[in-house]
Amino acid sequence: MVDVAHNDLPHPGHRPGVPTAVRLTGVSRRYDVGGGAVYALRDIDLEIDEGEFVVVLGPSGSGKTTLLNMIGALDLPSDGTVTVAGRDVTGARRSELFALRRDTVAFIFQTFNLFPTLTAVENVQCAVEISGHRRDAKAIAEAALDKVGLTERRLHYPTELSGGEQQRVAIARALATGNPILVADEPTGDLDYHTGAQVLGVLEQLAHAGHTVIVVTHNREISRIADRVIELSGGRIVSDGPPAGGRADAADLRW
Amino acid sequence: MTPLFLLRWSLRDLRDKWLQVAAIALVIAIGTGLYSALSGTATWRYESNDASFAATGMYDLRVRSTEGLDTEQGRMLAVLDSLADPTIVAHAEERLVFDTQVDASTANRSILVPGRIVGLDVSAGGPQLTSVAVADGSGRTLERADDARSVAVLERNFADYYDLRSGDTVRLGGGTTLDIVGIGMAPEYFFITTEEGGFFAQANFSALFTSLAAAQQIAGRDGRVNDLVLTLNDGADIAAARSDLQHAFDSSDTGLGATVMTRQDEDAYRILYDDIESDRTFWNVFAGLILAGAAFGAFNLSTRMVEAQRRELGIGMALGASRWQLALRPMFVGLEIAVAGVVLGIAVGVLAIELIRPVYTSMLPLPVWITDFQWSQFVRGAAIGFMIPLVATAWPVWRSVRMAPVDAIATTHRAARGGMSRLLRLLPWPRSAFRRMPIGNVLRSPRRTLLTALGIGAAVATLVAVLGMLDSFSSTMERNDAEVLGDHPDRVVVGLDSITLDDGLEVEAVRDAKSVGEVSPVLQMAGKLSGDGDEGFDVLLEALDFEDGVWAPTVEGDPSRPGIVIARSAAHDLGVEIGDSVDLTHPSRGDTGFVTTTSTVTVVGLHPSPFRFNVYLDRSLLAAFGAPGLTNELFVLPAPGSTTDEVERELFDLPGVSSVLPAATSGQIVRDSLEDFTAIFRVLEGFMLLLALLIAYNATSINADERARERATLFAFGLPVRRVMQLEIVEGLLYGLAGTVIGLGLGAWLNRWLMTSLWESTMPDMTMDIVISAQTVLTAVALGVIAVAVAPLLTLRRLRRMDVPGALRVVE
Repeated sequence: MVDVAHNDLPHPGHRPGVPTAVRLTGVSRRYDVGGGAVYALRDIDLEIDEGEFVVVLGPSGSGKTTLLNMIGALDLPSDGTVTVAGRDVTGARRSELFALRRDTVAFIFQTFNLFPTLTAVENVQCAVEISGHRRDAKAIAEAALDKVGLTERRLHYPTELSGGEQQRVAIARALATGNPILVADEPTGDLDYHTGAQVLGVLEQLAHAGHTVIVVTHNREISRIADRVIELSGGRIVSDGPPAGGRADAADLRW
Repeated sequence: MTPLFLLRWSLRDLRDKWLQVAAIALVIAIGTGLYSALSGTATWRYESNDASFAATGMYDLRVRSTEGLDTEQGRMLAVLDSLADPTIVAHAEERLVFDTQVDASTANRSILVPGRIVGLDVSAGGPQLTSVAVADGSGRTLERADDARSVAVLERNFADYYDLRSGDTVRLGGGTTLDIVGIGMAPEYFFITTEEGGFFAQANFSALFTSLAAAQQIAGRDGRVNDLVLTLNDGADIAAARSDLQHAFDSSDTGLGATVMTRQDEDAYRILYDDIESDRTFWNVFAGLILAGAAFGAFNLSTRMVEAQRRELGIGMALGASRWQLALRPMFVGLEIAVAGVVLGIAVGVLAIELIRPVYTSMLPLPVWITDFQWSQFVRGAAIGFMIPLVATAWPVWRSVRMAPVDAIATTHRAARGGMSRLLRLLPWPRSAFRRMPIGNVLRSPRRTLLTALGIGAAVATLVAVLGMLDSFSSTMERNDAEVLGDHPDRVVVGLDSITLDDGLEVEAVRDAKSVGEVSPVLQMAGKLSGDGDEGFDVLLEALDFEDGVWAPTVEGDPSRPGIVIARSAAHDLGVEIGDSVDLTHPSRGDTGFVTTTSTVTVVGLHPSPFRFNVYLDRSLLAAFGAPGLTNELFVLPAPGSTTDEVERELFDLPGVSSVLPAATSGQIVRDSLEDFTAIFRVLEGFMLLLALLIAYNATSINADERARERATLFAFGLPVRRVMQLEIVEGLLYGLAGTVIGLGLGAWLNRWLMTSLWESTMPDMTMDIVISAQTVLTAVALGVIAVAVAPLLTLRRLRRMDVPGALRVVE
């Protein structure tokens, strides 16, 4: 991968002197379907600073998950460039993309995607071992579970945990890797209000602790938790700024 | 959703998973195809035997004279007139049959063996009964013009063993030469045995078929006959006819001391038919095992394919589809797999037959071999093969349509149960959660794990049983060789024409031969051993010098004491030990010659030979048999600087010598014959390897589909493809290990059963070692563990091309 120099282009919420965590320049994602082309993303220019708490908002089919996949190097653009933590992923080798996901980006999924044959602590421990911290993996995992309030449930299997608990395990898993950028795809999508609020509270804490947190959601109320909301429609950014209705803490959200 | 719609949908499912479907169908095909091929060999043999014996005019009854006696030509036919109903005889022919020495040596090889001349009536253009069938390209059979000429047809088993051809010449003891005009098969020699009943004797026995007149000239018995063969008209009572004919000959003045035999008394006939049922049992065991392995594999895989559609069934329920509508689509898939399996099974069966046929026709050469595809066997196997995927799909479909829709629709994180993965807590190692994943995957679905392991285990068990049999044969032959050859592998066994004194002229002539070193006289007699009222078994009694002779068996006990030394296996069969008594029926010399008598004798020793018919006693005890100092066999060692070949050549022409054979020959013959037999096992070995690989590949492939999201999650966390593949390989190793352990245990048990129960009923006179060699274990491990572990590599391409984002998201 090529190190790209810091760019001074301003964006809503940009704090001078803070490095850019994610930059998309002229990014499009095109799918050739049945003789035509479908654009999931079209001409996206976007920057996210380190430590920002950003929500990507949009209805179903707006391209928000595709955008997340670009940031997490799970998918590559048809056009444009994607830079994550100063590294241009667009032309990167496969091994470099894997390394990016090990070292820089951590995922939290709507459907949790925990390993059913591992306990809560083992699920977290597994991610830590993958990221290279084999020696202290168990201790790191237990600490992460403690941060999300699940110490007493650490020996339970996913089928023995509620949805909210599973999602908190997934958050602990992402947190335990130590990766600076956390991306969450509809993290409250499968959860009830109270549990969802709990999960958002955890993400809020992580953002306050200095992680770059990017959450994808279709829920406008949930978007108020962030410092900045990037709204997509039809694969394009239609707005980029503070949340409509003003920012609110997770406990104050109502949906 | 009409049935036609559902059928089209099921075909789309099939197309989507065509590789997995093809693999399951091939698994079924191997099971059903091999089942039909192997279990159909019994029908081949029955039909081929019947056709071969019919084509060569096998007799219904045979009149055989006492050794050395004969009568005027025509006298034996005349006896038929005194039958109660002479019209039952359809056809009869007189023959002259006598033993001789045959020198069939070629430029490269000495071939000196005992043999038999069969003089046949060619006056009508060749014998009508027990004729000699000559295959195309092997010369010709006897013709009217061959009458009184020095020509012969050479028996095919012997000719094939030594690669002798039409046009060669053989020399008989006494100097007569015969030109070989053809290589042929006669029914009494379709299968060659030794006098002692040993099998695979084709290399040390040569039958030659010539005209009656030529045989009479060779034997110096002009106008004489000693053998009569006849066929009866349809509907005749053979047993009654035999009895009547025996009475007629006993009352006649032919002076032949004749015995009337039926076909069942002819070794070749009896063995060729008796062997079929034990053969059938043998192959049915393997065929059943192969089909079971295929069944486990196909059942497991079909079940999992349907379970992968569980969520779609749940969605269908939510839409209001009826249970039969929901069930029909996966049932159609099962039906389509079943049909594909049966159709492919025909191809596999035909292929297996093409591979097995030449082995059989080479191992058991017959004039007529009928090796048709056995449709009845195939239908039986195909019925099982057809039912497997249907049952395999019916079971999960039944479970799924009975589920609550919400559970059926639930994604894995809600619906998954841990199975036995909680046992992981009990494992202190490995500590790494990552490294524990394969073990957890194996434990999470115990039923699947068991079925996969059983499928692999069945394939491994078949392999272990097959190779274990070969190991057992090999070990037994080595034991026999070690015993027979002892310190003198160059020992030669010289048979004499008749019983003589151990300082008689014939023996002195052998001692005086230039190439001969040490000579030990032996008296060999046929007998019978029994104990405690049981029927007993035939034995070959040999009186030799345990102390100073050229060779003696290895004995546990004291052979110098009055008594006999018997095989350990004989002792086991009779339920006796050293010191116990048994009944020995044996010839004993009285005033008027040898008579058969039964004596109670003590077992003074046991020897390790695998052949239970070998019984020994010390020559010093021959007085008790009325035969002190008598001999009819010599154990000879070559003189220093001489070879066994030189001994054979020098002794061949000596008067009084009937056979000269190196002691090592019999073991070599058995080995050579078993090589043909093992060729079928090589065919099985190849199919078993393919079966295990298919089961493993399909299990891996379905794993890849079922756990796509887990794999995608690992990729999302940055785990490279090769590390994910390592997890797959470790999981495959665990399946393979479980399957191999099952296979080794089952295979070892099967080997023991084959070598004891089945072998004992087929060849009670030979006791086999029960051995599974280290090489066999390694081969089983290579198949069951290594081959299965590397099966995941076949999905590497699919893994590399995975749509990770697509696999991660179940709903938008």
